[in-house]
This record gives sequence, structure tokens and C-alpha cells, in this order.
Amino acid sequence: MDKLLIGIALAALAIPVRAELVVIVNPKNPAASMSAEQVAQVFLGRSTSFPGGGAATPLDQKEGVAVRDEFYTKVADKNPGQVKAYWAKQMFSGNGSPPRELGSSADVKRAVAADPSAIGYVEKGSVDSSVKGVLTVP
Amino acid sequence: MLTKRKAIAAAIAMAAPWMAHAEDGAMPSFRFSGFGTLGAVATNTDQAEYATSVLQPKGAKKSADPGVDSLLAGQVDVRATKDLTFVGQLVANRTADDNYTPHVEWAFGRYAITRELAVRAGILAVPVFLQSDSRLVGFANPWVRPPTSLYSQAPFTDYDGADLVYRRNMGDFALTLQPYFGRATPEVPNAATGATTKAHLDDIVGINVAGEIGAWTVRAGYLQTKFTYRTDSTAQLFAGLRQIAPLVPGAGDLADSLDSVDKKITFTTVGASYDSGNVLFQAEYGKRKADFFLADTSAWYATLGYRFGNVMPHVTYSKVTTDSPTTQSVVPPVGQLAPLAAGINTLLAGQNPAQNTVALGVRWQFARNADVKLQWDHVSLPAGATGNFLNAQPGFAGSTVNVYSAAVDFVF
Repeated sequence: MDKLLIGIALAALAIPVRAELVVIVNPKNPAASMSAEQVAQVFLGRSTSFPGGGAATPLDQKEGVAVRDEFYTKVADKNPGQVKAYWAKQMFSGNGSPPRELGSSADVKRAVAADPSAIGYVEKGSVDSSVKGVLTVP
Repeated sequence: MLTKRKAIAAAIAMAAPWMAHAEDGAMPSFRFSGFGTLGAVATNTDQAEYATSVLQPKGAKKSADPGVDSLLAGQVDVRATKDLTFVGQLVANRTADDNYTPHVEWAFGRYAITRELAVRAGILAVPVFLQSDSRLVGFANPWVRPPTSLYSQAPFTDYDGADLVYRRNMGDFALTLQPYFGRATPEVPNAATGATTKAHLDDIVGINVAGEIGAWTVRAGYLQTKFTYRTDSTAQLFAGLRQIAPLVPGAGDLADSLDSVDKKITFTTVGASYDSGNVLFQAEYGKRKADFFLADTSAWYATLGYRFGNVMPHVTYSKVTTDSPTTQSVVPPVGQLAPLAAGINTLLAGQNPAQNTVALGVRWQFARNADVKLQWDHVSLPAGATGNFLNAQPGFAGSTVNVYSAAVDFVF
């Protein structure tokens, strides 16, 4: 009985615990760090450049993927539905379209490693020296 | 054979840069997308019709009307080069002649001169409200439709012209300056007869200024235009007034002040919205001044919404005040003048959109790309006012109306 209760308690705890995210840029990018607000501005299309200048090309993860939902919830304070509605508003206002979507964290990492203007986000565990972390989202 | 190979090789070599581009966001690129609304509106009266603005020929009464909000729109975005884009939007909804044939809502080219400055030209949205660009995109809005109390004070949605969009990020603050000019020729229906008349909005000049900081967006705008709108019946009234001018003091001046040829309209608006996490607050105010029979108005609304996951209940209060006279005492309703006086009085009495509205609604985003909405508008009309309603019958002015709306919005 105790074991069962502990098991239920652990299961309940396990649900909200998620992996940390890291916002990544190309190693050649001079930016050492960015605030969540600055990252959100780039991903929402409100800013097209990095804080220190230089064009920024945001790369998104696929709709419906946990890492993407978590990114927008924590960095832009928008749930997946709000993000969709936000982009519907922007697109049908002729004010731009959402960031290009890539298929996986590996694809995002590869694209960021290859493009000095790129910015993406991946699970902390998948960061390596081919890219540079500018913001860790707990 | 060899030449054919060479040609293929040359074609591949020429295509290679494009293919390389295809990997980092393909140019030229085409994107087709769309949005729509399936809605129904009913009221508790048959004495007048509820429509989103005077550009709709009819509206909802006691029996449900699907034509007030329903629409289907398709948009094509073409990115020709890094700096040059084209946007075309076709919309099928209830038009002035009660016809749902798709019309071009937008068709413009946008050229980015620098990263901060763009020029746009073609058929563009008139940028006078926070929701000007997205007033038809139900999915992007909390209400079934943006509050008509304010939005119907400037009902025409697009114009032929050009603008400059200057956008500058200064730290966490983003400033947008948007001067524009052009002209518009919307068809205006006559709800009583079903006929339509083209209105001419010439020499449109305006500016839109917006600032964004964090979850706040604030904006202000000014528009002016030279307006011309004449129907046989109004032309007859003004001719009648000028005819009696030698006998009736003030009749000539009254004709000049009511006549609607090359008359100035100005529209000044301010607005603010706060959208963060679970809280949505938005309020706008607009003041319209018209140098002819159209009423001068002041209108505002405030909306507060709270998100519970994908469900957002919201409440809106809105108010329209009529700032110009809706009666006249120049032409007395006596003897041979009676028909003319009656005509003028009817024209003026019909220019009283004053109303107070409390609206309660809920938006449930039940799918990633679709929502369903319910809304109840409780509209109180001051004495003599017919509000935003069309085709008001005698006795309707000053009454209280309940408007019930339901809609499903989607994007694709």
C-alpha cells in the first residue's frame, strides 16, 4: 500500500518535471547572452536582429512538440493556442510569417551550426560545441 | 546529345543557387493560407437589423442570420527576393449588394528599403484601429467581431494607395511610424431599397504610430479624407433647400452644411492593449468629425478577458456618443415646406448611432487552428438613437436590444 502511494506520488511529480531548454546561436555570433524578452522578440518576429546588431533568423521546432510548447510558455508567456492565434494575426495582417520549422533538435542544431544568423532552441542535453548557448531556460 | 547534356548542366548550375536557397528558406517562395468564420446572429427584435456596419445591406433580426459574420478568405504570400514580397487576399463575405462573390481585400507589394523601413503599395488595410489588419480574422480576436460601437465608425477596411512603415527597436521598446495616403471607393448599400451607391474617399492622408513594450501595445492615429456620397434622394433634399433659400433664412447654409460632396472627414483614434499570460486587456477610443450630414461621434470600448487554458471568457463595455445635432429648426414643418422638412428631419434623425453596450462572451480554442465563440450583447439606445442598427422602423429608437452571436473560426 505504501509502495503504491509512493508510486502515485512519484508519478504525479514526474509529470510536471521537464528538461531544461537552451537557446542556441552560431559560435561565430558575438552575442554572449540574451534575455528571455530579447529571444521572445526575435521568435515573435518583432525584432529581426540580435541585440548587438546583425540579422537574426529564428528556427522553430515542429508544432505539437513538447520542447516547442515549453519554449513559448516559458520564454514568451504564450500557450500553444496563443502562439497559433498570434501568428494568424500577423500572417493575415501581411506582417510576416512564423519562423521556419525544422524536424528535430538535431536539425535545429545542425542549421544553427551552419548559419551565423540562426537562432534556435533545443533540450539542454543535446547542446554540444557546434553551437553556443545564450540563454538557459529552467 | 552533348549539347543537351550541356544545357542540363547549365540549367542545374543556374538552379543551384535557388536550390541552396531552398534549404535556408527558398526564394521565390509561395505560401497559401486562409481563414474563415461560420457564424450566426439573432436579436430579440424585428424592428431593426443588426449588422457589423453600414456597409452591410441587411442584418440579423429575430431569426438567425448567418451572413453578418460568416466569411471565407484565402491569402497568397509571395517572397520574390529577400526584400520584396507580395500579399494578395481574397475574401468572400456579405457585400453591399448582398452577394458573396470573393473580392480582393488586399493586394500589395512590400519592399524593404532597409531593415527598419519598408514601402508598401497597392490595396491596403486602413490602419486606424488596433485590429484594423485583422478585423476579419475571427481566430485572432477574442470577440465574435471587434466591438462595432467603435469599428463601425470607420467601416471601410481597405484603400488604394501606399504607405511607409518605419519600425525601430530601442531596447525592449519597438516603435512603428506609418504614414499613408490613397483613396477608396466603397459601395454603400441602402438597407431600405437594396440599391447601392459608390462613396468616394479621396485624398486620404493619415498616420499610425504604435509602440510595443513587453505585453503592452499602444497606438494612436489620425486620418482625413475628402468624402463624396450622393443619392437621388439626398440630392433632391439639398436641391430643395437651395431652392427655398431666398425665402427661408438659413436654408442655403443648411444645404451647404449637410451636402456631401468633397466634404472633410477626420478620424482620430488611440488604443492600448495588454496581452500576457492569462490576462487580456484592450481599450480604444475614436473621434469622428464629418463636415456634412454624417454624425460627429465619440466612441470607445474596453475589454477584459481571462484565459483558463484554452477557454477565455471576456467582458466588454462600449459607448457611442453623437456629438452633432440630429434635428434642425431652419425649415419649419408647415404648409408646402412640410415634405422637405420631413425629408431633412428623417435624414438627420437617422444619423444617431449613440448606444451603450455590455457584451459578455467566451472563446474556446478547441483545436490548434479553430475556436468556437458565444457572445451576448446587451445594447441600450438613448432616446432618439438607433445605434448601429440598420433599417430601423418607427418606434425602434431608444429601445433596448439583445444580440446573440455564435461563431466557429478557423485558419488553414
